[in-house]
Amino acid sequence: MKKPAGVSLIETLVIMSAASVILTLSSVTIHRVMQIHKKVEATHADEATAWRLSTRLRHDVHQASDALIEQQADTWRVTLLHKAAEPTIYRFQQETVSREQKLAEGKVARDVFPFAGNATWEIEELTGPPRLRIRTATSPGTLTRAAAPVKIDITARLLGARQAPEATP
Amino acid sequence: MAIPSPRKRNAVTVIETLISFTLLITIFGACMPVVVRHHQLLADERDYRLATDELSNQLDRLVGLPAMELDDAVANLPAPTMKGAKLVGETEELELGVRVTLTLRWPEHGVRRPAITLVGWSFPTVTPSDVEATP
Repeated sequence: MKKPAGVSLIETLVIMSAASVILTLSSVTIHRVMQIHKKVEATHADEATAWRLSTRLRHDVHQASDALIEQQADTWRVTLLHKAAEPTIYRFQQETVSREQKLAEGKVARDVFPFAGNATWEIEELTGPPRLRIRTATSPGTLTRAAAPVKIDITARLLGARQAPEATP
Repeated sequence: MAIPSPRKRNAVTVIETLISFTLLITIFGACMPVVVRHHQLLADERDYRLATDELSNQLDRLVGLPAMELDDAVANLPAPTMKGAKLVGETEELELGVRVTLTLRWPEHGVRRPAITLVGWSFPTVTPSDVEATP
Protein backbone atom coordinates (compact mmCIF):
# COMPACT_ATOMS: atom_id res chain seq x y z
CA MET A 1 0.00 0.00 0.00
CA LYS A 2 1.37 3.39 -0.93
CA LYS A 3 1.97 5.80 1.96
CA PRO A 4 0.41 9.29 1.53
CA ALA A 5 3.01 12.03 0.83
CA GLY A 6 1.35 14.80 2.94
CA VAL A 7 -0.74 15.18 6.08
CA SER A 8 -4.49 14.89 6.32
CA LEU A 9 -6.83 17.75 7.27
CA ILE A 10 -7.63 16.04 10.58
CA GLU A 11 -3.93 15.78 11.45
CA THR A 12 -3.41 19.48 10.66
CA LEU A 13 -6.42 20.46 12.77
CA VAL A 14 -5.25 18.37 15.73
CA ILE A 15 -1.75 19.83 15.58
CA MET A 16 -3.09 23.38 15.24
CA SER A 17 -5.45 22.99 18.21
CA ALA A 18 -2.67 21.48 20.33
CA ALA A 19 -0.35 24.36 19.36
CA SER A 20 -3.02 26.97 20.13
CA VAL A 21 -3.66 25.42 23.59
CA ILE A 22 0.07 25.45 24.37
CA LEU A 23 0.46 29.04 23.14
CA THR A 24 -2.56 30.22 25.18
CA LEU A 25 -1.25 28.57 28.34
CA SER A 26 2.25 29.97 27.86
CA SER A 27 0.98 33.50 27.11
CA VAL A 28 -1.05 33.45 30.34
CA THR A 29 2.03 32.27 32.25
CA ILE A 30 4.24 34.93 30.64
CA HIS A 31 1.66 37.61 31.54
CA ARG A 32 1.60 36.39 35.15
CA VAL A 33 5.39 36.35 35.35
CA MET A 34 5.50 39.92 34.04
CA GLN A 35 2.92 41.01 36.63
CA ILE A 36 4.90 39.38 39.45
CA HIS A 37 8.09 41.03 38.13
CA LYS A 38 6.36 44.44 38.32
CA LYS A 39 5.16 43.72 41.86
CA VAL A 40 8.63 42.67 42.98
CA GLU A 41 10.15 45.80 41.44
CA ALA A 42 7.54 47.98 43.19
CA THR A 43 8.25 46.21 46.49
CA HIS A 44 12.00 46.87 46.15
CA ALA A 45 11.30 50.53 45.30
CA ASP A 46 8.99 50.82 48.35
CA GLU A 47 11.67 49.37 50.60
CA ALA A 48 14.33 51.76 49.26
CA THR A 49 11.95 54.73 49.72
CA ALA A 50 11.06 53.59 53.25
CA TRP A 51 14.78 53.41 54.18
CA ARG A 52 15.34 56.89 52.74
CA LEU A 53 12.30 58.35 54.52
CA SER A 54 13.27 56.73 57.82
CA THR A 55 16.82 58.15 57.70
CA ARG A 56 15.78 61.64 56.54
CA LEU A 57 12.82 61.95 58.94
CA ARG A 58 14.77 60.70 61.96
CA HIS A 59 17.55 63.19 61.21
CA ASP A 60 15.08 66.09 60.81
CA VAL A 61 13.15 65.24 64.00
CA HIS A 62 16.41 65.00 65.97
CA GLN A 63 17.32 68.50 64.77
CA ALA A 64 13.87 69.95 65.63
CA SER A 65 12.97 71.75 68.85
CA ASP A 66 9.20 71.38 68.43
CA ALA A 67 6.64 69.91 66.03
CA LEU A 68 3.25 71.18 64.88
CA ILE A 69 0.86 68.51 63.63
CA GLU A 70 -2.18 69.35 61.50
CA GLN A 71 -4.61 66.98 59.79
CA GLN A 72 -6.84 67.91 56.85
CA ALA A 73 -8.89 65.03 55.43
CA ASP A 74 -6.34 62.42 54.29
CA THR A 75 -3.35 64.73 54.54
CA TRP A 76 -1.12 65.18 57.57
CA ARG A 77 1.15 68.20 57.75
CA VAL A 78 4.03 68.13 60.19
CA THR A 79 6.05 71.31 60.70
CA LEU A 80 9.36 70.71 62.43
CA LEU A 81 10.62 73.89 64.07
CA HIS A 82 14.35 74.47 64.29
CA LYS A 83 16.15 77.05 66.41
CA ALA A 84 18.71 78.11 63.84
CA ALA A 85 17.04 77.25 60.54
CA GLU A 86 13.77 77.57 58.64
CA PRO A 87 11.11 74.98 59.56
CA THR A 88 10.97 71.67 57.71
CA ILE A 89 7.51 70.80 56.45
CA TYR A 90 6.46 67.19 55.83
CA ARG A 91 3.20 66.32 54.08
CA PHE A 92 1.92 62.75 54.40
CA GLN A 93 -0.71 62.14 51.74
CA GLN A 94 -1.76 58.55 51.02
CA GLU A 95 0.92 57.24 48.64
CA THR A 96 3.25 60.24 48.77
CA VAL A 97 5.31 61.94 51.44
CA SER A 98 6.90 65.27 50.58
CA ARG A 99 9.51 67.31 52.43
CA GLU A 100 10.12 71.03 52.02
CA GLN A 101 12.56 73.44 53.63
CA LYS A 102 13.39 77.04 52.76
CA LEU A 103 17.06 77.71 52.25
CA ALA A 104 19.10 80.88 51.94
CA GLU A 105 18.59 83.23 48.94
CA GLY A 106 14.94 82.23 48.52
CA LYS A 107 15.77 78.68 47.45
CA VAL A 108 13.59 75.78 48.55
CA ALA A 109 14.77 72.19 49.07
CA ARG A 110 12.07 69.72 48.04
CA ASP A 111 12.09 65.95 48.30
CA VAL A 112 9.39 63.42 47.47
CA PHE A 113 9.01 59.88 48.83
CA PRO A 114 6.57 58.02 46.55
CA PHE A 115 5.11 54.63 47.49
CA ALA A 116 3.44 52.05 45.27
CA GLY A 117 0.11 52.10 47.08
CA ASN A 118 -2.18 54.02 49.39
CA ALA A 119 -1.27 54.23 53.04
CA THR A 120 -3.21 55.51 56.03
CA TRP A 121 -0.85 57.64 58.07
CA GLU A 122 -1.05 58.07 61.82
CA ILE A 123 1.02 60.75 63.49
CA GLU A 124 1.16 61.53 67.20
CA GLU A 125 3.34 63.23 69.77
CA LEU A 126 4.55 61.02 72.61
CA THR A 127 5.52 62.14 76.07
CA GLY A 128 8.28 60.89 78.36
CA PRO A 129 11.16 62.10 76.32
CA PRO A 130 9.25 64.27 73.76
CA ARG A 131 8.96 62.13 70.63
CA LEU A 132 7.15 62.06 67.32
CA ARG A 133 5.63 58.80 66.07
CA ILE A 134 4.85 58.31 62.40
CA ARG A 135 3.37 55.04 61.26
CA THR A 136 1.20 53.52 58.58
CA ALA A 137 -1.99 51.67 59.40
CA THR A 138 -2.55 49.18 56.59
CA SER A 139 -5.47 46.85 56.13
CA PRO A 140 -5.43 43.71 53.90
CA GLY A 141 -7.62 45.43 51.29
CA THR A 142 -5.21 48.35 50.78
CA LEU A 143 -4.58 48.97 47.09
CA THR A 144 -0.94 48.69 46.11
CA ARG A 145 1.15 47.85 43.07
CA ALA A 146 3.72 46.14 45.30
CA ALA A 147 3.57 42.62 46.74
CA ALA A 148 2.34 44.00 50.08
CA PRO A 149 1.34 47.44 51.43
CA VAL A 150 4.21 49.49 52.80
CA LYS A 151 4.70 49.30 56.57
CA ILE A 152 6.43 52.10 58.43
CA ASP A 153 6.80 52.77 62.16
CA ILE A 154 9.24 55.52 63.10
CA THR A 155 9.56 57.11 66.52
CA ALA A 156 12.16 59.84 66.91
CA ARG A 157 13.05 62.19 69.72
CA LEU A 158 12.87 65.98 69.38
CA LEU A 159 16.41 66.78 70.42
CA GLY A 160 16.66 70.41 69.24
CA ALA A 161 15.02 71.63 72.48
CA ARG A 162 17.96 70.45 74.57
CA GLN A 163 20.16 73.34 75.59
CA ALA A 164 23.85 72.90 76.08
CA PRO A 165 25.13 74.55 79.26
CA GLU A 166 26.90 77.83 78.76
CA ALA A 167 30.65 77.50 78.77
CA THR A 168 32.29 78.56 82.01
CA PRO A 169 34.89 81.28 81.65
CA MET B 1 22.35 1.01 -6.38
CA ALA B 2 19.32 2.29 -4.49
CA ILE B 3 19.88 3.42 -0.86
CA PRO B 4 17.17 2.13 1.47
CA SER B 5 15.39 5.03 3.22
CA PRO B 6 15.38 4.85 7.05
CA ARG B 7 12.17 3.53 8.48
CA LYS B 8 9.92 6.27 9.80
CA ARG B 9 8.81 5.82 13.43
CA ASN B 10 5.30 6.62 14.63
CA ALA B 11 6.00 6.43 18.38
CA VAL B 12 8.58 7.12 21.11
CA THR B 13 10.37 4.57 23.23
CA VAL B 14 9.99 4.24 27.02
CA ILE B 15 13.61 5.38 27.47
CA GLU B 16 12.95 8.61 25.54
CA THR B 17 9.81 9.31 27.58
CA LEU B 18 11.63 8.64 30.85
CA ILE B 19 14.52 10.92 29.89
CA SER B 20 12.18 13.77 28.96
CA PHE B 21 10.22 13.37 32.21
CA THR B 22 13.42 13.28 34.24
CA LEU B 23 14.64 16.46 32.55
CA LEU B 24 11.33 18.23 33.21
CA ILE B 25 11.28 17.16 36.87
CA THR B 26 14.91 18.29 37.30
CA ILE B 27 14.12 21.72 35.85
CA PHE B 28 11.03 22.16 38.06
CA GLY B 29 12.96 20.87 41.05
CA ALA B 30 15.70 23.42 40.44
CA CYS B 31 13.23 26.30 39.93
CA MET B 32 10.97 25.77 42.93
CA PRO B 33 13.60 26.38 45.69
CA VAL B 34 14.70 29.53 43.81
CA VAL B 35 11.12 30.87 43.77
CA VAL B 36 10.61 30.03 47.47
CA ARG B 37 13.98 31.58 48.42
CA HIS B 38 13.12 34.73 46.48
CA HIS B 39 9.90 35.14 48.49
CA GLN B 40 11.84 34.58 51.71
CA LEU B 41 14.41 37.22 50.68
CA LEU B 42 11.65 39.76 50.01
CA ALA B 43 10.14 39.09 53.45
CA ASP B 44 13.61 39.23 55.07
CA GLU B 45 14.38 42.56 53.40
CA ARG B 46 11.21 44.10 54.87
CA ASP B 47 11.73 42.49 58.30
CA TYR B 48 15.33 43.76 58.44
CA ARG B 49 14.19 47.35 57.80
CA LEU B 50 11.35 47.11 60.34
CA ALA B 51 13.75 45.58 62.89
CA THR B 52 16.29 48.36 62.40
CA ASP B 53 13.52 50.96 62.80
CA GLU B 54 12.25 49.16 65.90
CA LEU B 55 15.72 49.15 67.47
CA SER B 56 16.24 52.83 66.59
CA ASN B 57 12.83 53.74 68.04
CA GLN B 58 13.51 51.93 71.31
CA LEU B 59 17.07 53.22 71.61
CA ASP B 60 15.90 56.78 70.95
CA ARG B 61 13.43 56.44 73.82
CA LEU B 62 15.86 54.74 76.22
CA VAL B 63 18.76 57.17 75.86
CA GLY B 64 16.35 60.04 76.58
CA LEU B 65 15.28 58.60 79.94
CA PRO B 66 16.77 59.73 83.27
CA ALA B 67 19.64 57.44 84.41
CA MET B 68 17.61 56.06 87.35
CA GLU B 69 14.79 54.83 85.05
CA LEU B 70 17.10 53.33 82.44
CA ASP B 71 17.71 49.91 84.04
CA ASP B 72 14.00 49.30 84.62
CA ALA B 73 13.13 50.36 81.07
CA VAL B 74 15.79 48.06 79.57
CA ALA B 75 14.60 45.15 81.73
CA ASN B 76 10.96 45.68 80.62
CA LEU B 77 11.28 46.25 76.90
CA PRO B 78 8.03 46.03 74.90
CA ALA B 79 7.51 43.09 72.54
CA PRO B 80 8.64 43.88 68.99
CA THR B 81 6.05 44.11 66.23
CA MET B 82 7.79 41.43 64.10
CA LYS B 83 6.34 37.94 64.48
CA GLY B 84 8.45 35.63 66.64
CA ALA B 85 11.18 38.19 67.24
CA LYS B 86 12.62 38.83 70.70
CA LEU B 87 14.11 42.10 71.88
CA VAL B 88 16.71 42.04 74.64
CA GLY B 89 18.76 44.84 76.09
CA GLU B 90 21.61 45.39 78.50
CA THR B 91 23.25 48.39 80.13
CA GLU B 92 26.86 48.91 81.07
CA GLU B 93 28.08 51.79 83.20
CA LEU B 94 31.29 53.24 81.87
CA GLU B 95 33.29 56.40 82.55
CA LEU B 96 31.59 58.47 79.85
CA GLY B 97 28.04 57.34 80.60
CA VAL B 98 25.80 54.31 80.28
CA ARG B 99 26.11 52.17 77.18
CA VAL B 100 22.79 50.63 76.10
CA THR B 101 22.91 47.58 73.82
CA LEU B 102 19.73 46.34 72.18
CA THR B 103 19.61 43.06 70.26
CA LEU B 104 16.74 41.68 68.20
CA ARG B 105 16.70 37.92 67.62
CA TRP B 106 14.50 35.82 65.37
CA PRO B 107 13.72 32.16 65.88
CA GLU B 108 15.71 30.15 63.35
CA HIS B 109 13.44 27.71 61.54
CA GLY B 110 16.03 26.31 59.17
CA VAL B 111 16.79 29.76 57.77
CA ARG B 112 19.77 31.64 59.13
CA ARG B 113 18.70 35.15 60.17
CA PRO B 114 21.44 36.92 62.08
CA ALA B 115 20.52 38.98 65.13
CA ILE B 116 20.62 42.76 64.78
CA THR B 117 22.36 44.82 67.46
CA LEU B 118 22.28 48.56 67.98
CA VAL B 119 24.28 50.45 70.61
CA GLY B 120 23.49 53.86 72.12
CA TRP B 121 24.86 56.02 74.89
CA SER B 122 23.07 57.75 77.72
CA PHE B 123 25.22 60.56 79.05
CA PRO B 124 24.60 62.15 82.46
CA THR B 125 22.58 65.36 81.98
CA VAL B 126 24.49 68.50 82.86
CA THR B 127 22.17 71.38 83.77
CA PRO B 128 23.25 75.04 83.86
CA SER B 129 22.94 74.96 87.69
CA ASP B 130 25.50 72.10 87.79
CA VAL B 131 27.87 74.18 85.72
CA GLU B 132 27.44 77.19 88.02
CA ALA B 133 27.99 75.02 91.08
CA THR B 134 31.40 73.88 89.93
CA PRO B 135 34.19 75.94 91.49
